[in-house]
Amino acid sequence: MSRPLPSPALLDVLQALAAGCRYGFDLIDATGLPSGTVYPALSRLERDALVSSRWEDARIAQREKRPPRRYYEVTAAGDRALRAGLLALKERERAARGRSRLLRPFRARG
Amino acid sequence: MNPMPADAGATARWLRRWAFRVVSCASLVVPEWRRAEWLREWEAEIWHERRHPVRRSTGAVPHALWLRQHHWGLDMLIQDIRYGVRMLAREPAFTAVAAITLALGIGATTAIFSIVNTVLWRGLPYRDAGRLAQLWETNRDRGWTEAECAPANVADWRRLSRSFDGLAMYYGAGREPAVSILALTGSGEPERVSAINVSANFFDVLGAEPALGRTFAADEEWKGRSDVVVLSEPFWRRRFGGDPSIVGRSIVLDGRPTAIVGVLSASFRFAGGADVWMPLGWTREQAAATRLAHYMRVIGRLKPHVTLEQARAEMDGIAGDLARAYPVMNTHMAVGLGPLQDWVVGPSRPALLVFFAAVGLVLLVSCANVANLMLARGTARERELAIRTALGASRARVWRQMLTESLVLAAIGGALGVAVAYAAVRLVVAYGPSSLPRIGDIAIDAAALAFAVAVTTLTGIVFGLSPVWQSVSGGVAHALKAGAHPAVAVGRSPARQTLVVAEIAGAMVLLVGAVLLGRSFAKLNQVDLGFNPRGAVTFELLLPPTVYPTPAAQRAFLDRLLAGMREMPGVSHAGASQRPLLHGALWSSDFTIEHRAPDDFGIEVRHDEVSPGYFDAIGARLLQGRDFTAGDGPGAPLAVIVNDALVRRYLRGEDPIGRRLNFDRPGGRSPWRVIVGVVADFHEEALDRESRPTIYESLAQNTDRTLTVVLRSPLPASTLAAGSRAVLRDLDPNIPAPTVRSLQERVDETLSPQRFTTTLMGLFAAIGILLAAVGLYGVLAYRAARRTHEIGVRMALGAGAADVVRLVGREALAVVSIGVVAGLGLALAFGRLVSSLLFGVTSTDWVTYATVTGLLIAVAGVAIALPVRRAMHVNPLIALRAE
Repeated sequence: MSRPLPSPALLDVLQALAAGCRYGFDLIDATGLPSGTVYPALSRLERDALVSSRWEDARIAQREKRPPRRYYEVTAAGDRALRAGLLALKERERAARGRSRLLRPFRARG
Repeated sequence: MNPMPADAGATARWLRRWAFRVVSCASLVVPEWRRAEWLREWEAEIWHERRHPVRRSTGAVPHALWLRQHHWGLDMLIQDIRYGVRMLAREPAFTAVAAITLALGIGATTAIFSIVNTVLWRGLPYRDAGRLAQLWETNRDRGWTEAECAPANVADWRRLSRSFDGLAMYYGAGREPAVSILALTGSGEPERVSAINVSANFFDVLGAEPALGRTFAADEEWKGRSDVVVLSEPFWRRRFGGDPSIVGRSIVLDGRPTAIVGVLSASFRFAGGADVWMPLGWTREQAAATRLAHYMRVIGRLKPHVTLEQARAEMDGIAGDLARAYPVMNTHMAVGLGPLQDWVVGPSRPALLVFFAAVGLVLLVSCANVANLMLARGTARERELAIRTALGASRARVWRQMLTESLVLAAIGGALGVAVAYAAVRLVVAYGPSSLPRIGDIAIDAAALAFAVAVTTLTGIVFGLSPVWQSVSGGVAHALKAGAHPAVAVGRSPARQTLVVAEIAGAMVLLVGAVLLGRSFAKLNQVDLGFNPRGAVTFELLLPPTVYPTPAAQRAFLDRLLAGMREMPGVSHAGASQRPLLHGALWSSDFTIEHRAPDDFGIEVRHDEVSPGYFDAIGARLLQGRDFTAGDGPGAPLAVIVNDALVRRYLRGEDPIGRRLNFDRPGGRSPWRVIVGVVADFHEEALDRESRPTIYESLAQNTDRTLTVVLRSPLPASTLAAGSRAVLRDLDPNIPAPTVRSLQERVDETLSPQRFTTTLMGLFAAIGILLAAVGLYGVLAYRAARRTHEIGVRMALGAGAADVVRLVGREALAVVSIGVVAGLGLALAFGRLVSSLLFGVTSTDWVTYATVTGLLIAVAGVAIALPVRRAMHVNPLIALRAE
């Protein structure tokens, strides 16, 4: 089953999760995207099973006297989608670079 | 973390409070079922947020809107399923009982469906099988309805008819093809090989392509060219290890070198099958001139665009012409034809349709039972549902939830049911009657699985809707109030009572079917066989024609065989006949008694040939005259023994001994034979068929290659089998060892279809009555429990035990009697369906109905007794204190 590649915002969120962010607001910090973008992105990724979520162990939270937070994690499918997305992005960049070289050869040499 | 300044802390708290407000406002947009979780997540994040709680909380609004927009159904379904599973897991006893009940119903239905589908409905595995027709002959004078055909008639049909692309033939034995047993010799131990002889065009007419080599060429049908054989695929694998270069090799069958010309494909099926297929191997004269003896079964392939009716009309005309041309042999000889599929599966259709109806009832009863359980539970959950409704769950939402729950339950039952069906089908394939056509092909296949899924869904919806209906129609206020005061909630439960009535009626019908079949089976077992199957063993032999070509050689072999058998220790009698007992119709002919008027002759007298001692060996009684002796051999006057049925019909009031008869119409050339004895009737053809007038010739005067030997001895069958095989081996090591079986086994085997039918029906009835009893008990126990308070009040006011019994019992009695009456009506209709399977019992047999009614009332009594007992022991003090 092939899925359309995640959009840039989704890719950013996915990448931040893969890099070790776990909570919604961490992702906001890491990506610099507004919360109104990050959260729908998370829900969409979760619906598509690229991301899974679970509640933090309530005992740990209780010990630290704070409410338990919701963890997000990249699934195996999400990992594949991320790699495919990054690859496509790189490809596009390379193509763009190639084009710019054609347009501005002297600048590139200089 | 560094503590913040006090005023900064106050500001942060103030900001966070605003953030919480934003989030909780946004939460109203979030779909209800995930609202709580959503709130928890956002609140936790905001709690942890130190810098921009309000700004970040605004993201909750687009998030909530997004969720509302993408309110996907599947997710909700999963939610519902999770909830349903949780509810079911909370009541394991209820879930287990309901799931097992459903598994029985769905499993039994699926199993029978897969049998019915495979046997009755699936097309035969031939090319364009719908164009294949079976042809047979009928004769109203002789009482023939599906007789084998005379070869010369078939030859004329082939010549005259325009309706068929081909008419194929095979030797018939009753409805089935005749299977002969040949000795495969040459390499290693001689092996018994089953063979069916067919006309050269047989495989072409069926449209069967060989996997290897070819099938028969036209001229290989005739004697002299017919030493060729086509192997069945399983035999090729078993005996020759699937050797792909087998075609062209030669094997020795019955002492005759035979060339292997082909191997059939693995998917080829015909009747019970055979190891090898051989041509008819007869002469052109036999084919063209044999019009008196009827022994061919015929299959035709209709030409495209020719309908069965057109073919029938044409064949009627041809049969009429033949009747005029050959008045002696063909008067009133007509041709019957019908679809091959009907011919193959027709005899099993009534039983299978009865099973299908019965299993439908089992499903109905189990569904009613689960619906009943759901209702009881629905009542208990009324409060829960009412609260959910009061809190804003829409009615559709509650319905959907309940329906999902019952579908989950049905799915559990369905999965178990498929396992039940799988096991049941394995059992049927292993132990079912071999007379069931295509039994080896029965399996839980895609069609059966699809059927199981459909039945599961349907049952889930049917019983799932009942509690919804009740709970929602009850109304919120009523349920809440009722929950608060159990005493007020007595009311009536017409839905549950109706279900129990349906269950009792269903169980009644099943029981009537089972008892009718059981009584019929008992009657069959009580049939006075006229011979004694206990303490006797039997085996069949087919002498190879190359070694025993003449009657003299066959006779010599038989004499030595019987002498050897009689010398075996413990054997009191040994004898042989040409035809085995209970093996279908004997051959028949006309006959004439000497000194009778020229128009006074019998048609349709049966024939068999027996040796001296045969009647003693099977335990038949000689009424008059004598048995055959060694003196009734070749050269001696032709002697016959007749049965009592013949004497009663044709020689009433006369002394039969010494009278002479022949096997022809008056003026025929058949030699006269003298009656030397009269034997009492015994069931020779079938258990459910009365003995017909039969003439026994002396086997020594009419020897043949087929022999059935019977030994009478108190020794166990296995001992006798070893002894017989040793005697045979001494006589001729090239004859493969026969299967030696007790005569009782043979009798049991002929009853196996009836035993199968009866057992299966009994099983269904047992399930039905068990479920009905559980249902009845459940309703009464529940009602009694709910009325504990009322009973307590009544007892406090002076009601005695008898009044309590009347109170609880009256309702039970009403339910049971309505159920029984409804069941009786349905059972009469069902009995009509069963009637074609019955022997010696009519479908309106009053003993059956009385037995079943009694049985049901007894079972109902047990189911009622417990709740009544409990009601009687209600302690008014405790019951009232519960208030």
